[in-house]
Amino acid sequence: MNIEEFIDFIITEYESGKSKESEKAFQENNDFIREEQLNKFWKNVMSLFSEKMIKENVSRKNAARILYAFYKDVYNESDIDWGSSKKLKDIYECRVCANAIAQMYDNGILESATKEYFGLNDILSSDELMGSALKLLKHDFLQAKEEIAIRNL
Amino acid sequence: MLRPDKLDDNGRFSSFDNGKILFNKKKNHLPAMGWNSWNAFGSGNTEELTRIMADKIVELGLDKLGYEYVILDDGCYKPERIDGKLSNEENKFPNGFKSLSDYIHSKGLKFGMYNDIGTNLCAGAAVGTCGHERDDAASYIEWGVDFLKVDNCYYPFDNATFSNPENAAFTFAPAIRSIKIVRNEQSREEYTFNAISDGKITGDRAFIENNSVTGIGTYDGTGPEASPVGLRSSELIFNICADNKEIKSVSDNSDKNDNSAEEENFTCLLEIEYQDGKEEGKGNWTQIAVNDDIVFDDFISEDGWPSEKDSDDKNAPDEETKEIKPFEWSKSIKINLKKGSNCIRIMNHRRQENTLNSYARLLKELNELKPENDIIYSACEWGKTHPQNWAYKVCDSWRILNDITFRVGSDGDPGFGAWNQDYTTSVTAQYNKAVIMDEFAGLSKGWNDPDMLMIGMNGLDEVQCRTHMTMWCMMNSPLMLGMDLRRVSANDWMYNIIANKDMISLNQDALGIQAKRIFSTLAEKEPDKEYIRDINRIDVLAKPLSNGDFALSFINVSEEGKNEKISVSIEDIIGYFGEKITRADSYSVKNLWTKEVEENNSGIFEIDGIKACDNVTFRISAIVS
Repeated sequence: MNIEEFIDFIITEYESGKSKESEKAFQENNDFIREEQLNKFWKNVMSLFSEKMIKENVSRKNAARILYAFYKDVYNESDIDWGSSKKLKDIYECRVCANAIAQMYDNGILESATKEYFGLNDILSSDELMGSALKLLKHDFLQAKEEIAIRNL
Repeated sequence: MLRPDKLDDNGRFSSFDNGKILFNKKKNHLPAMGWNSWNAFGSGNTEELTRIMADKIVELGLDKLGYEYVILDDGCYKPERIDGKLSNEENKFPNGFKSLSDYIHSKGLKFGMYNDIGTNLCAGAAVGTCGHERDDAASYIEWGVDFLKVDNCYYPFDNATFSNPENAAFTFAPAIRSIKIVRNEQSREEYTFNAISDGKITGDRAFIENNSVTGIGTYDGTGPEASPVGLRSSELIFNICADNKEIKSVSDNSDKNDNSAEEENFTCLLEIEYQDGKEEGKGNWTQIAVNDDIVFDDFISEDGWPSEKDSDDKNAPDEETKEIKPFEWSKSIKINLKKGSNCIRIMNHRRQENTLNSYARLLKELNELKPENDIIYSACEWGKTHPQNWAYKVCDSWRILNDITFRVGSDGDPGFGAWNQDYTTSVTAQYNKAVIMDEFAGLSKGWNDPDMLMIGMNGLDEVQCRTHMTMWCMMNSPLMLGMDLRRVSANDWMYNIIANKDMISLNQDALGIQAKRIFSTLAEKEPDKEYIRDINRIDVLAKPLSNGDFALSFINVSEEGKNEKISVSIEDIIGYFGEKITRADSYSVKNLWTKEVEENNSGIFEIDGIKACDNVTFRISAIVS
């Protein structure tokens, strides 16, 4: 699965309205807002990758950037405080995706390669990518935030 | 594969201290002030948001206080070049950069842009200036750019962020076990010198390991670990005495030249026993100098080139499977030894030299295309190559560390900044390093840049933001606002901090002297030189000003309040600055945050307790009777 296919998958799954979160979003938003949000997400990710780049495989760091863009642009979710992602030794190696990694990792959407390393440049398989996308689409952010708040107390 | 340029003497390590400015870089600029899009909006900045920020700068009157540059950071270009040229990302910047530049100029402000010395920008767009300096300089001049921030991602000649980690082959010499000098090629009259017993290591980057000397190169200053003060690199030096009979090692090379006789040279061959690598600390590129001549500046072994793969290659060997090469002898290099003492230096200063050269290439093109331009040039190589040593030659300021925050904002989200946090991502991490870097700053040089202001981001309270502003003003750091200015209203707490005229006047003082730390509760001997990362302390900073006044700042770096009494005397301050500080019987002392003015007749300036993260900053004027 390349970057373009991954983005398409997320949008298609969201629009199908099957997942818990997308169902909620569909109920809360009208068609116009939904289209606006998806348009924003599409423009955002297309500004990150050229026509050539979107044909490339999806690295773990780029998966984080794409999923995070969806989290912000479509779900309009606010960031959570960094938690265990701070312990990932390579998180500061990616200045433009460190926060995306932290948000997706701490929300349980994306896993790290090992306990210590996120594995920025590892190429993810289609199954891994679809699994993370579905986690994002089905994620209950409110509940996750409550859990994280309790954990941080 | 790209290959580093050949260097002339102006770009070499040996010229770093000569004070010479390159390619007609104009100097004597005060620290730049303005707004940069990164902390506020990250890659999500748009033309519309930028226009709004320019409007807000004028509406709030910030332009009258000196905030004049409006700078587009990463995320504004198309991800690929079009016909070899940079172009605007059309969704975010539909009317193009010239139109935006014209708008910003119409407001009486100046327009800044961003690029990178590597092949790509940090956010990924494949439009770095590397190899495109001429085209890009032409674009920037066409767009009316007044300020350029240039990053260091995807750099092909060092293991920078997103670069191939094997690029360390360019920036470290191999491990060296010994050298051999062959005087007579036919008879092989050989003299071998051991790196450990006969060589001498300069600096503390290199060290002895496995019967060899390794780490010959320059510290990586991106993270907070390495101090910025002192020699930041290491060489391996052999002092050799040569005469008609023999060549031998001597402890030093002073007073051994036989000046009575006509100078006699011996042509010899030099060979090096090395083990090369492609990792931080052990590379391949080797520089060899004999006395004052560079006799070799290249890969010692052609098969030691970094592989063609980039950092995205998941097949890079990990630590366990990495091949350890055997030691081997280099090809012979012809050298001339003179009768008497000689110094053979084995080194690799390319980390600093290559980076200087890459920044210089763009400057050269800008100044060739438009010699009268006065573009402010901001190096953002994150302190990796210790730019405090060289950047004054081509730039106006240089970042000293990696970013101050990795949690930048977006439209509707102010992002997050920390007072104290891991790595470089906090006010205090940046301050801890910058505060001992005053020797590198000045009007004829440029400014240490501890990154953009985080005032207005989540995570910092009013007191912390006030002290953040004080630190940056005292340290003559560029003042780049990094917030969504729609969140600011005239006379709210954020406005009162960024618009504190007294503070700004310290930063913009015509004398251009960065404050010196003259006291710290945790300093042992030299508060102005010691790199102290423990924040549980109070610092005192002093800064001479152009009208004979001076500023004095007591800064509680700690997140706990302190009850102790801290005092410094006028003699302490004069001890650091001499005649720049006026001795008087009494002084007028103005607190620059509370605006209270008091008279001081003792020449002792003190505080009695200070809140967590707070500062007490005075402007002190001698009262002449």
